[in-house]
Amino acid sequence: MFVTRLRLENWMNFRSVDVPLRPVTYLLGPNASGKSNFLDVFRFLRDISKPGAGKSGGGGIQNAIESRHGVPKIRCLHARRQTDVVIEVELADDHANPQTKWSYTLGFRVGDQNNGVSITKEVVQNLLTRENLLSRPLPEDVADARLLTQTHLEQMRSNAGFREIADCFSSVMYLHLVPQLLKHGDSIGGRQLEGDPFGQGFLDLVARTNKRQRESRLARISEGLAIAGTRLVDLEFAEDEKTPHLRARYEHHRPQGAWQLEDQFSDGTLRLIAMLWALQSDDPILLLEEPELSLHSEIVREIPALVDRAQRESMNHTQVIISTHSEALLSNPGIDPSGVLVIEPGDDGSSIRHLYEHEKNGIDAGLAVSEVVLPSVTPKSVGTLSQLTLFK
Amino acid sequence: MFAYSEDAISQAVLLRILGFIGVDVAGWTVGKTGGSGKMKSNVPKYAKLAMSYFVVLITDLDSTPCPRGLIQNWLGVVVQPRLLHIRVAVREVESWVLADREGVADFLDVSQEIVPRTPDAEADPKTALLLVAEKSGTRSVREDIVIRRGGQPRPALNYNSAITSFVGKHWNIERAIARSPSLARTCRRLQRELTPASLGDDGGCP
Repeated sequence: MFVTRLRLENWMNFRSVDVPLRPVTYLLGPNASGKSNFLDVFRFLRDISKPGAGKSGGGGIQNAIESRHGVPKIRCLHARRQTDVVIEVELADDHANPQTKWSYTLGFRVGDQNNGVSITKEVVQNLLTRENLLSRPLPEDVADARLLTQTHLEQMRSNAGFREIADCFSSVMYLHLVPQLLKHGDSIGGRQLEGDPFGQGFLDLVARTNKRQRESRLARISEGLAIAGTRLVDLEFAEDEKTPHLRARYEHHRPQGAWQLEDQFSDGTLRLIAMLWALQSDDPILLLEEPELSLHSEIVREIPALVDRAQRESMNHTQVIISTHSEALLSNPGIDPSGVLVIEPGDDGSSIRHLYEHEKNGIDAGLAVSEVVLPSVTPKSVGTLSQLTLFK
Repeated sequence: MFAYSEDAISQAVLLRILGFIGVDVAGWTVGKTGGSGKMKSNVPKYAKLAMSYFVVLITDLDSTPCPRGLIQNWLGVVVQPRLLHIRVAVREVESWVLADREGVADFLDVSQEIVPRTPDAEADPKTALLLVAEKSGTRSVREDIVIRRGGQPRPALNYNSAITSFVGKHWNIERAIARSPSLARTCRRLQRELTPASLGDDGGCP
C-alpha cells in the first residue's frame, strides 16, 4: 500500500493542502514552516489505527488527540469559517500499480465538555469499484453522539471491509532517534512518548525483532558502519540481566580491539544505526525527519541512493517521506523532481507547492535540487544572522 | 530565470543590481554555488538551461587577464546562448562594493580619503577593503571584518555577514556605478537584456 494523495484542511499550520505523494517524497521548507506537522498527519493516523483503542497507551482517536493536547492544538490557527479539521488520504496497492484504490476521509472538531472530539465525517470509498463502504455520520451516530468519539478505523468490528487501510496506517514507521535520550534515558528519567518517536525504546524494538531477522539486519548495519569509517565492527545484540544492548568491537592497536556498548557510540553512529534499521523495516510507510542530523555530509550525500536501493529491494516497497534542509542530501541530481514538495509559510498559514516549471527544467538540465530549489527555501537574510546583537 | 553567484556578498550585490534595473526576482532561482570552481563546472548545464531561460552568473575576474578570456575559458566548446549572461567583476566583487566610497567610509567609520578612488584598478580589492576596515574608528567594526594572521590582513569570521548586510542596506549603487566601469557595464548590459521592455509581457518566459 502506498499513499498517492493527501488533502488537509485546518491541520496545524496548513489551512488547505492537497498534494500527490510519490514512492519517495522530499519535503523542503524553512525552519518552522510545518515539515514536522506534515509528517505528524501520518503518525496521527497510525496512533488512531493501532490496536488497543480506548485503553491508555493504546490506539484510537481519543488517545491520538489527547497526546497532541486536544483538538484546539491541532486545529489551524488560520482556520476561519470552516472549523473542522479534515484529513483525506488516497491509497494505491503498490508502486507498480499506482492506480488509486482507496479514499479515506476523516473530519472532526472539538466535542462537548465530556468528549474531547466529535467526528463530523468519516468516509471510505473504493475508487476502483466506486463503492461507498462507509459514510458517517450514520443514523445511529445521530441517535447516540458518543459514537462520534470513535472512528471506525480503530474498531476491528467495523473496519472489516477496509482493514487494509487500518493495517497500513497502524504500521507507519517514524524514527527520529535522539542519541542523548537513548544514552542517558535512565539518568534523566525520560518518559517515553506515544509510539516512541525519539527512539528511547529503540533497543526494545531491536530485542522484539525475531532473532534471525535481527542478526541479518545488524550484520548489514555493521557493514554500513565499516563503510562509513566508524572503526566499529561486529555489531551485535546483547542482553545484560534482561536489559537489551547493542555492542560492537572498536578496532584499535590491540588485535582484539575493545567492546563498546551503545552508550559509548557516537551520536552519528547511533543515528546511522537507527536509519539503516528503519530502512530495513519493510513497513509500508517510513517517515525520515531530517536524517542528516549528526552525520558527516559525505554520508548524507548517500542517503537518497540508499533509500532508493532499500525501496527496490524491500518486499513492501516502503514508501518514504523525507524532510530535510540538507544541501548534501539534495545534491544528488538523480532525485525525481516530481517527488519534491516545497512548504512555503505565509500570513495565512503554510502552503505546499510542487516545483515550478523552470525548476524542473533546471533539474532536467543536470542541476541538483540543492542548486535549483533549495535557494528559494532559504530566507535571503539568513546570511546576516551573525550580525545579530547578542549582548548589550 | 536563474541567477547564480559564488558567495553571499556577490549574491547581495547581484540582488541589488537586479532591483536597480527594475527586475522583479519573485519566482527566480537565486542561488550560490560556493565558489567559482563549481560555477565553472556547471556552465554546460547553465548553457542548456539558457536555451529557454535567462541565466545570470556573477563571478570574480581574480587574476585572469580579462573578462572575455575568462568567459571563453569557462565556455570551452559550449556555444554561448543569447540568454546566458556571465558578468565578471574586475577584479573581485569587493571592488564594486568599494566603489560606493562615501557609503563604505560611513559604514566602516573611516575617512573617505583612504577608500580607493579607482577600485577596478586594485589588484586585490578584498585586501584593499580589509586594509580600509582595519583603520575603522569603531572597534566592533574592525573585529567583525578583519583579523591579522601571519602579518597579513584576513577576513574575520563576520566579514561575509557584515559586508552582505552593508550591501543589502546601505550600499548606494548609483554612486558605485560612477566609480566602477565594470559595474556600470554589467548594469547597462543586464538592463538592456532583462528589463520589462526586453522581457515582453510574458515576464521573460519564451
